[in-house]
Amino acid sequence: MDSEEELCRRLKAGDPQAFKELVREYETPIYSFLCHRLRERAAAEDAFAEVFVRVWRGIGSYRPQGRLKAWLFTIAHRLSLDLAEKASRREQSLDAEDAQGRPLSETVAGPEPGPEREAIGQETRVRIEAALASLPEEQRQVFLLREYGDLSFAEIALAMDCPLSTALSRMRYAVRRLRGELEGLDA
Amino acid sequence: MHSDEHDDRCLLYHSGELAPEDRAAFEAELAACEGCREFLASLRKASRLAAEAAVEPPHGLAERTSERVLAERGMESPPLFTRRSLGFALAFAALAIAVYVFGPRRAGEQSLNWTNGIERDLARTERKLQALSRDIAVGTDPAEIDSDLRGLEESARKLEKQLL
Repeated sequence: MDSEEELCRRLKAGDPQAFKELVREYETPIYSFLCHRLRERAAAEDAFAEVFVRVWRGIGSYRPQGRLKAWLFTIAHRLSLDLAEKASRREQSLDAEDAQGRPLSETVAGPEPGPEREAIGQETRVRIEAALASLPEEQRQVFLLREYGDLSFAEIALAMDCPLSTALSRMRYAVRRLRGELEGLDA
Repeated sequence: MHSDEHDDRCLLYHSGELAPEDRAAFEAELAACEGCREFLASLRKASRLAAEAAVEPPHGLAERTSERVLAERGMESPPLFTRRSLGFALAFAALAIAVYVFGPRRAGEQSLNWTNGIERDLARTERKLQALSRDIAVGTDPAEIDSDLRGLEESARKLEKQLL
C-alpha cells in the first residue's frame, strides 16, 4: 500500500482503486470493531458499508490533521453510537428478544470455522466476548478503539470528544475489570 | 504507593505515547513498582486476548463494499460543496472575528445593546463553525454540510455588516 499521504491524495482525486485499497486495508479492524460494538453480524456488515459510504463522501473535504486511521475509526465510532441508540429505542418499543445480550459467537456463526476460530477454543472466545460485553459502554468504547483501532489515547480523546484524562481513566477501569473477568484464561 | 497516575503512565507507555525521556524514567519506576508491573501484565493480557477475539470478516466483504459504494455514489467523489466555498465561509468568519477584536469601534455605537448583539451573533457564528467542522470530520451528508455552509456565510455577512 502507498504511503498514507499518497493514498489520501489519490482518494481525494476520486481514484476508485485507492478506495478499494483503503477498504481492504481496514476490512478486519473496522469489521471487528463494529462486531464488538454492535454485537450482531448483519448490523456490523451494514455499518461497515455505511462507514465507507461516509468516507468516500467526506474524503473531498477531509483535511489530514492526524492519521487517516484515526479519522476512519472516528467515523465508525460515531456511527456505532447512532446505531446503538437506534437499536436501544427499537428494543424498548418492541420489548422483544433478539441478538443483544447473546454471545457474539452465536450471531457471528459461519458455515465453516475460520482459522482464527480454530486457533482458540470456542469456550475461550465466548468468555472473551462476554468479558468485553460486560464492560460499561464508555469503557468498552475506549477499549475497542484502542485494541481494534490501535488509536493512541490522544486520538481516542478526540474521537470521543473528551479530555485525555477521561479516556485514560475509562481504559484504566476497563483493564481492572477485565483482569477479573479474564482470570484463568491463558494469553 | 501505587496510584491511578501510575496506571495512566502504564497505559501511555504501552501505547507508545510517552516521550523518550519519560519512557526511560517509567522503565526505572516499573522495576520498583509491583502494582505497575501487575497492571501492565493485565493490560498486555487483555490486549492479546482481544486480538484473538478479532472477528474474521465474511469472505469478500471489502470487495462487495467497495463495489456497492462506488456504484451508489459514482466513481468520482467530488463533494457537493467545494473547498473554495468552504474557504470563502471561513474567511468571512475569520474577518468578522478579527474586525470585532482588533477593528475600530464607531463612536456612539458602543452601547451595551450593540455590544451584546454583536457578541450574540459572534457566538452564533462560532457555533455554526463548530457544527460545520464536526459534520465535515464525520463525513455527514454533503447536503447538510452545504446547509451549514450557507448558514455560516449568512451569519458571517451579517456580522461583517454590523462591524464595518
